Amino acid sequence: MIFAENILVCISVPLLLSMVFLPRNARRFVGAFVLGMTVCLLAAYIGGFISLISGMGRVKTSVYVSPVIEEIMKFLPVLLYLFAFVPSDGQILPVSVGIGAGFATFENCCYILTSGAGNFGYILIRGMAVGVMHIVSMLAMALGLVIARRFKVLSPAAVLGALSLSMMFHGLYNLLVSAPGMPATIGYLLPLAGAAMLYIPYRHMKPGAEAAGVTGTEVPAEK
Amino acid sequence: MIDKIYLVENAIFDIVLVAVILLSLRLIRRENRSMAAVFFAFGGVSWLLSGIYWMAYTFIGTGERMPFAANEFGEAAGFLLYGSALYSIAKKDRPFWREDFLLPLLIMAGYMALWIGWSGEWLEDILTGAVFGYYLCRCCRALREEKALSRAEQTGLGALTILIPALEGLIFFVPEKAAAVLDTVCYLMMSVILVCFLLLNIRELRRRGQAGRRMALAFSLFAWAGSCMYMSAGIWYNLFYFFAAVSTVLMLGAVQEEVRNP
Repeated sequence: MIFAENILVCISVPLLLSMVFLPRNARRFVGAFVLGMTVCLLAAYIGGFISLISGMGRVKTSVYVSPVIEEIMKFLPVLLYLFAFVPSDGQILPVSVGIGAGFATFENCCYILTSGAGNFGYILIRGMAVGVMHIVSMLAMALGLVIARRFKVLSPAAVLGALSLSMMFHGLYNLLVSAPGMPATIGYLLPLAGAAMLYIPYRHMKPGAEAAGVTGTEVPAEK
Repeated sequence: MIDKIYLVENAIFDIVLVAVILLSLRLIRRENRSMAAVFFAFGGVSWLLSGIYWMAYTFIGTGERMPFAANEFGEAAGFLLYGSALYSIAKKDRPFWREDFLLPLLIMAGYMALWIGWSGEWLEDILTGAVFGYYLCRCCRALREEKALSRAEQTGLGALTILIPALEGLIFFVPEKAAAVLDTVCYLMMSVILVCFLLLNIRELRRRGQAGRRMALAFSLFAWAGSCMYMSAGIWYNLFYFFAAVSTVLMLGAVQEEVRNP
């Protein structure tokens, strides 16, 4: 048994303190990173609870249920940020990536404490796969929201579509890595393939448009 | 045998989807007016991931029926994003007509009752039904807005689509022999509607009609192929799955036309 709450406090305190001395953009990213770790802990609580009441067992829960819970938990802060603070496109993407990175970091910390970090090769693969996977799923979700907002089609359908897509991606990754051998290898490569696929729409949307004084809310609709 | 056919079909559909996604991404990169293409590409990715998930489960799984899993969300995302692609060409200032959601609502209620009756999976069926209902609403609206169907076609296809769930529902209450006949009649009716939609698509292609109309028809063909798949089993399922793959190619053509010549 690990004391995940204590680990969260231990990692978060220096990060939170560092925010005082950081410029605004960096502070936003660090805040999102800490939020991502907190969300990871909450998702683990909910996953554990569902595992208990459904009687599915730990492995089945982690393969079938966790992707849904984790993606919803990561999605909620982004959605709140989007509607409560009306940020520009250039602000949403770093916050989403921060939440994804924080989530992946905390998950990896807990994994290492549970299973040990003796096998450097495996830890490296896991770090790259889980790290990239959480970031890619968050980036896909945020990109979907940015695109939908930019073209004034930010309907519940587009929002839920972006969320479902990231759940699907996460679920496929969990399913593949749950089986040893070839499926696991494909699973570990999946996040990198996802990152490569996201590159085209990411470049096309030019999320850094904020630098030129263009925000998501100011861009005129295409139609 | 049928499982093997399905596996091969799934693989073919996935290959079609990869090609469709790549072409959509090229469209996004080249053209400025690419909203429909963005949603279409993301929708294609959802279907592709869902297909891969199913294949992975088949190879890795223990052979038991797949539980409520992420691939349901993949299909939901596919419908939502395809629906959003249709929304992107909709005339935003025009309110929803009553007919836009009355017919899909009626059909969806029938489907959901049937699905629950067949499988007993309440949560799964209600979730899929709600999302699929939204997609049907978008298709109906696009068909009406683009005037893709004549009055006679609307009435005929509308009546048949309502009749099918009603007849399928009857199967629960009639003797076995009559049920088998009714079942075959339903499959034939589904196929007739599917062929009708395919012919309408071909007619529009030959006419070199408006991009919006082509999109409405192609997306409706996909919707109907999906409805038929969700209501069938065995070889019929394989047949309807083939139509879904064909409709995806037609959808790509329509989206390309919409993006290039709106």
